[in-house]
Formats: sequence, structure tokens, C-alpha cells
Amino acid sequence: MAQTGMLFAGFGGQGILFSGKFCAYDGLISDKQVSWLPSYGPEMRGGTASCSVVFSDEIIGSPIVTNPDILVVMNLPSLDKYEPAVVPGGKIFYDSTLISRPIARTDVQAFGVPATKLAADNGMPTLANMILVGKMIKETGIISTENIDKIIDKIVSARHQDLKELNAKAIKMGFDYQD
Amino acid sequence: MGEIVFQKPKSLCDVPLHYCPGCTHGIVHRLVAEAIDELGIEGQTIGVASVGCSVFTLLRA
Amino acid sequence: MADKVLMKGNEAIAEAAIMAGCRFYFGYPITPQTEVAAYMAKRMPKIGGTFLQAESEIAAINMCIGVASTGKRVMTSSSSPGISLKEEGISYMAGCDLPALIVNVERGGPGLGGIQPSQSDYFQATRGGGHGDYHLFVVAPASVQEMVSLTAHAFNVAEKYRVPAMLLADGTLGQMMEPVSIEGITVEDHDKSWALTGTDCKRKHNIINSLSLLPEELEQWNLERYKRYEKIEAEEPMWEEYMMDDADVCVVAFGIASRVSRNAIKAARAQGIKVGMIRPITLWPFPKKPLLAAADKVKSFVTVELNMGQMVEDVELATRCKRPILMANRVGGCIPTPEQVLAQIVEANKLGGAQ
Repeated sequence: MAQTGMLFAGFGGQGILFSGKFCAYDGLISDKQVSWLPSYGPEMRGGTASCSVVFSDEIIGSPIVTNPDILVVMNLPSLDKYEPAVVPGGKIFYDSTLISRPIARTDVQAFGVPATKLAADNGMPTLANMILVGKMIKETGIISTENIDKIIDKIVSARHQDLKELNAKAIKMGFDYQD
Repeated sequence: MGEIVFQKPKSLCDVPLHYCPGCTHGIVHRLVAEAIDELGIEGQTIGVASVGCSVFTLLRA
Repeated sequence: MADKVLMKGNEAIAEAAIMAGCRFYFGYPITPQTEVAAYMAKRMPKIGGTFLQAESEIAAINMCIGVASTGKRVMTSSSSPGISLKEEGISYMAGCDLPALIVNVERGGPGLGGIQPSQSDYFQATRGGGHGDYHLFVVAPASVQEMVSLTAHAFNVAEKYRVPAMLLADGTLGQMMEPVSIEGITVEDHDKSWALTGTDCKRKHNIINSLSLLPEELEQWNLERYKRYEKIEAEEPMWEEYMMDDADVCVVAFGIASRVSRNAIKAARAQGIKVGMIRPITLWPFPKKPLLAAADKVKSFVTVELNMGQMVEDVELATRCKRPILMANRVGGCIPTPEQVLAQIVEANKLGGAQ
């Protein structure tokens, strides 16, 4: 059974839930089984935010990902909390602008992207999350690149047309990033 | 050495708060603690909070 | 193939209610179901429906009584403590034989509890919930698609038998998103001659009332109502059987607990344990028949619940305590893990034979 569990985590306001939704939409477009489950405290800003995304060929059981195959983190407390939980052989994607310590696990692949800095330097301060998602797509192939524009079309609301191009640009930036 | 012009009220417990950054709940919470300090009634005060975020004043420390 | 969209469980309930012809929603915010009210607030005005954020959950359920008395489809939603507030009104609805849908997206309890999911309102939902002898038609979805199909079904059953219905979900189902199809909802047409629609002085007036000053009359109303409940118990139980054909161990779970159990069952099967699941979809009427039948075939049962042991009592009753029953549970907003459920399946598999 081919099932992939992804976990996105950071603080409220970084677009963690949106990043997860982006991936969930790929499941919808590709007619895969997919679930998206947010987890957050009572705060609307700050606090912790995380979401589980499960892709599967079969009907999904639990939507809760406790041991992710793919971990995407955007702040240090989230890395501290979830690094030990990643499946051996899994992949960690982290925002190296906000996380300065190296990954301790030696049995996973780790990819650091200075997403927050790149976003700020390129006039898209709110899209650091999508830059990181771009890198994740490149290194995991979990989403096919031809779906990216279709997903952006679905997920960015009609009144934010200008954000569609920006999201595509952010994803490409992460996709092409080499350190 | 400068004069202290502002500090955390004595009756405000030293625990993490769960209000959103920018929410006025946190400010009101502190003002109530300041008033309790100024009136010197910390030992004679019972706090009551409603449902919604204001109930965070009652979270066990 | 129907067009699918990604929707949150809470929003799916609201959209399904609208597709099922519900044009009145009265609610109040409470985590984790506020999205139901927020969605209704946006949608209802656009389709000429009525959305009102009442001043309290009690006001909301009483507004539902008003609309239900006119024969129109009406819905309210809340979470655990808010449902407790509604219980007097729900008892009145049952006593007046009014159809309506009450949605409970459960959170940790008791008291103000927590904002994370639970299933600790099972007793409240399946034993009526308020005062007096009555039952609600209670459905428990386990996926966002079932949030849609069971919402529509609950409205139909409620009108068919003139009983209030409850959709019992948990915070996980309310918050999660899955691909869902909102098409194919049928709105059944049931007799509404009892409703208050204005006589125009052309017919005898109708009365919606639960009070009688004559004990024998009140007894008759109760007896007649329970005849309808008998029909519901005979014809409306719903459940799903998963891998039960050769099962030695039967897991019983609803809602998010059943989702977690699927993972555990897969893992147990990989270890060679023959385990299956009976998933109640209606909690009242409880699927007693398949459980009694299973009790003659399996060695033991494992119930998985997010409470201190509520549905397990109905499993004991339904199986006449013929087999040992273990439980895998968490409370307070915690969710049992597949590992915890697997551990109980392994234990249950070691037990065996009749009691």
C-alpha cells in the first residue's frame, strides 16, 4: 500500500496550513485519496500550527501523521518537537533563516532553505512557506510539476489574482534553490 | 541607575499567556492585576472569568 | 464521476444541509464547530435563507422549535457544553414530535473541558440527552463524505418519523479536509399536515405542544412515540463491516476512532491476527443485530472510544456479554493511536472461548 504522511509545522501566521492545503489539492486533482488535518492552539496568531497531510492509493485510515515521511518545519520549536518522529529514510525541509542548528538525525535527508530571507529579498515576505514547498516538491517528487499551476488556480481565491503569479514564482524559487 | 517606570504587576502570575499577539485580552488582564496591586487587595480577591478566551485567566499554572 | 471538492468537515455539514433544503440555521460560536455557523452566515443570505447568531445556545434551540413547528427544515450546531445548554429544548422537540437536525462536534469534557476532539457525549446523545423518555435519531460520520450523506439522511429520517435527529461528530472530523462530492442528495417529501402554516380559516387549527394535564393522555403520547421508535429500530440501523468474514477479533468503533482502528487492523492483519471491525453509523438505533451475530463467531471484542467507556456498555448489551470486551480509549482531547489499538487487539486475540 503506497501511503505517504507529511507533517508541516511552524507558528501561526506562517502559512503552515496553507502549505498543507496546497499539497492536499494535488491529491484532489490527481484523484488520489488524500486527507488534511490541522492542529493548532486557541491563538489566531503566534502559538503553534501544524497540519498532517496523507496521500494514499487506498482508503485512508487515520488522518493523523505521527511519524512523517516528509517533515516541513519553519521554526525551531517545531523542529525540536518533530525531528525525532520522522521515519528513518524520511526527508526534512527546514527554513534555515529561522532555524540555525543543524539536523541531528543521521538517518534522514535534510534540506535547509533560507526561505524567509529569500521571500523578504524578493518582495514576497508572506510566501516563505511556498518557497519551502517548492524545494520539497523538487526533492520528493510528491507533486508533479504540471499540477502546480492547476493547484494555484484552485487554491488562490479569485479576488487575489495577483497572488497567483507570486505563488508560482515562490514555488519555482524553492524548486530551483541550490545551496 | 534609572528609575523603574514600568514593571509586571506583582499579582500577575509568571506563567505563559495564551492570548494572540495584539489581542486586548492580555492588556485588560494586566490592567486588572495593576488595579489589584494598587488597591492592595490581592489576598481578598476572587477572580471570575467567562467562556471564550477570557477563561484563560483560570488555566492552572 | 461526480465532481469533487476539498472541504472541511464542518463546512461539508453546512453545505449538505443547504443542498438538503435547509433554509434556517440558528447557532452560536464554540470551538471546534464555529465554521458551521460561519459558513451558514455566508451562504444563507445568498439563497434567501435565514442565518441568525442567537444570543445563546438556548435561544438557538428555541428558535429551531419555532421553525420546526412550521414544517420547515432547520438546523443548529454546537459542541458538548453548548449541547448541554440545548437539552431542555431538545426534550421539548421530542415531546412535540418535531423534526430538526442538531449537530454536536464533540470536544473534551466535562465542563468547559478542552478544544480537542472527544466522543464523551455518546451517552448524552444516545439516551435522549434531556429529561423524559425519548430518543433522537443519532448518526456518526467517519469521513467528510459521510458528513454530507448523513446530514442529508438525518433530515429525511427526522421528517419521516417526526423525531429530532443528531449528527454526532468529533473535532477531528469537523476540522479535517477530504475530497467530497456534494451531489446526489435526495430530499424526501413527508407528510407535514401537522405543521403550523396558518389555517386561512379553511382547516382545523394544529397545535404543537408537549404538555398534558391528563396522565393517561400523556402516557398515550409516550406509547405512540415509542411505536415510532420501534419502527426506527427495525428499519433504520446502519453500520459498516470491515474484514469481518474470517475475523476472530471484532473491533467496534465510530467516528475518528474507526479511522485510527483501520490502521491498527491493517497492522494486526500483517501480523497474522484475523481482526475485523463493525463500525456503527447510526448510534441510535444501535446496530444490535450484526453485533449479536458476531458474538457467535468471534473470540472477543475491542471497543475504541474517546471517552471513559460509554459505547462499550451498548456493545455488552448487544452481545449479551457473551464474549470478553477490551477497550482502547483516551480522553481529554487525546486520540487513541494505532499502536494503542493494536496492543488491545493483540491482547483480545489471546482471549477466547465463550464466557
